[in-house]
Amino acid sequence: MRYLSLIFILFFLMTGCSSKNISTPHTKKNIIATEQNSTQTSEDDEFDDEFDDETKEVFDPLEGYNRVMTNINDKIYLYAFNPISKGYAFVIPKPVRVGVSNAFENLKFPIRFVNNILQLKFDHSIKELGRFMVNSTVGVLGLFDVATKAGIKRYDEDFGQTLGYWGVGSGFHIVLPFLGPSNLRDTIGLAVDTAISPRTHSGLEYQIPKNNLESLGYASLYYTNKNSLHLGEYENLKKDALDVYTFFRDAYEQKRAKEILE
Amino acid sequence: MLKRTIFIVLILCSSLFAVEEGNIKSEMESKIATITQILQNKSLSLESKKEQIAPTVDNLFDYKTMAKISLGRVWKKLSSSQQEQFTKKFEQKLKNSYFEKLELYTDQKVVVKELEKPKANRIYLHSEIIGTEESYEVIYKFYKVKNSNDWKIYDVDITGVSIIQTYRKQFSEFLKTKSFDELLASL
Repeated sequence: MRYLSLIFILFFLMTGCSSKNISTPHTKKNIIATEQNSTQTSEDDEFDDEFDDETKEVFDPLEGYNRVMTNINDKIYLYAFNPISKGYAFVIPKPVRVGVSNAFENLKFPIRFVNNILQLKFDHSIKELGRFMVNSTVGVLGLFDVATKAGIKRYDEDFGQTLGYWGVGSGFHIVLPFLGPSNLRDTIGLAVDTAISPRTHSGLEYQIPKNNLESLGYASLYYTNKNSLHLGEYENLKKDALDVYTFFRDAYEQKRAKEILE
Repeated sequence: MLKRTIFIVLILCSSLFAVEEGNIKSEMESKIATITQILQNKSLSLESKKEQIAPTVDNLFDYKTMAKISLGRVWKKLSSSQQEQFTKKFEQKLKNSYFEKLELYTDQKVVVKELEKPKANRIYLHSEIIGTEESYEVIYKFYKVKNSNDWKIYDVDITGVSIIQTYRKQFSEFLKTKSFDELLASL
C-alpha cells in the first residue's frame, strides 16, 4: 500500500514535470522581457544585481493545492501540534528534551554520512563517523553531544542537497502534509533519506522500529520534541508575512539554495 | 559656553555612532555584547529591554535604502512624499519584527565571526547564533555610504534567507493585485 501511494505520488510529480515543458516558452518570454527592463534600470541602481528580480514569475503549478495545504498545516499546527508540544515541554524538563534531540540527531548519522560521501565531502563524512562513535559511547547513546562541545561540528547534508549538488534543479514547490514547505527535488530526497533513516521502518537491519506503527511513534516523538524546543517561532515568523504561503515558500527556497552551496 | 560644550559633545557623540570600515567588527561585537547583556538581565521587563536596545541598533541600519530595495522598480514610480511615507512605515515594520524576534531569546550566544569584502563598497559580517541544539548563521550586509566613510546595514541574511529579498518578493506579489495605498495600510 505504501509503495502504491509512493508510485502514485511519483507519477503525479512526473506529470507535473511535463506540464513544465509546455509552459516554458511562456515563462521564457517573461524572463526576456524583465531582463530588458532590468538592464535599463541597473545603471542607476547598483543594489538591483544583488537581489532577485522581484517581478520574475515563480513556476508554481501546484499553487492552488499548496495554498490549501498551507492552511491545513497551519490549523493542525496551531490547534493540535502546538498545544501537544507545549504540554510536553511543561512536563519534560528542558535538559531532557535537549538530550532527546541530541539522540535523534545522532541517529541521523547514516543520512549525513552517506550524503557527504555522495557530495564528495570525504573529510566531512570522516568527521561525521568520528562524531557518531564519540557521541554513541562517551555521549551515552547520543544523549550528550560531546563532539560539538569538543569542537567537531555537525555537517548536515540530505539527499535533496545531494541532488542539488549534482545540478538537479528544485523543480516546483510542494507543501507536504504535516511537514510543510518542500519542492519536487527535496520530496524525492526526503523519501530516500527516510528509507535509510534508523528511526523509520523500511526493512534495513539497523533500523529501530520493527513496524510502521513504531516508526510513526518515533516520528511523533521526534517532531514533538523538536517543536518543544522551538515554541513560538512559527507564529512569530508568520507575523512578518503579507501572504503566508508565498512568504514560507520563498524563505524555504532561499534557505535550501544556500544549504546546497555549502 | 554651555552651548558650545553641548555642541562639542554632540559632535563627539555623532562621530562615535558612525561605523567605519576599520571598526565594523569591533563595533558590532560590542553592540551585540551590549544587547545580549540587556536580554539576559532578568530584572528588566520586556518593554524596558526594548527601550534600552533601540538606541544601540538605530544608527546601524539604513532604513531608506532597505525600503528602496524592498520595493524594487516600483520605488521610482512613487512621489517623494510617498517614498517618505513608505520608508517610515517600513522602518516601523522592521523594528517591530526585530523586537518580536527578541521575545524568542532564551539563552543563545552570539558569536561574531569573519568579515568578507565581496566588493569595494560592500562588507559582510558573518555571525552565528548558538542555541542549545541548533545554531543559525546570520550575515549583516553593510554598504559604504557614498562620499563618506560611513558603513550602514542594508540587509540581514539569516540561514540563507535575505530579509529584504523576502520583503521584495512579498511586496511585488502584493502590488500585482492591490494598490500602493493598500500596501501602506497593511504594513
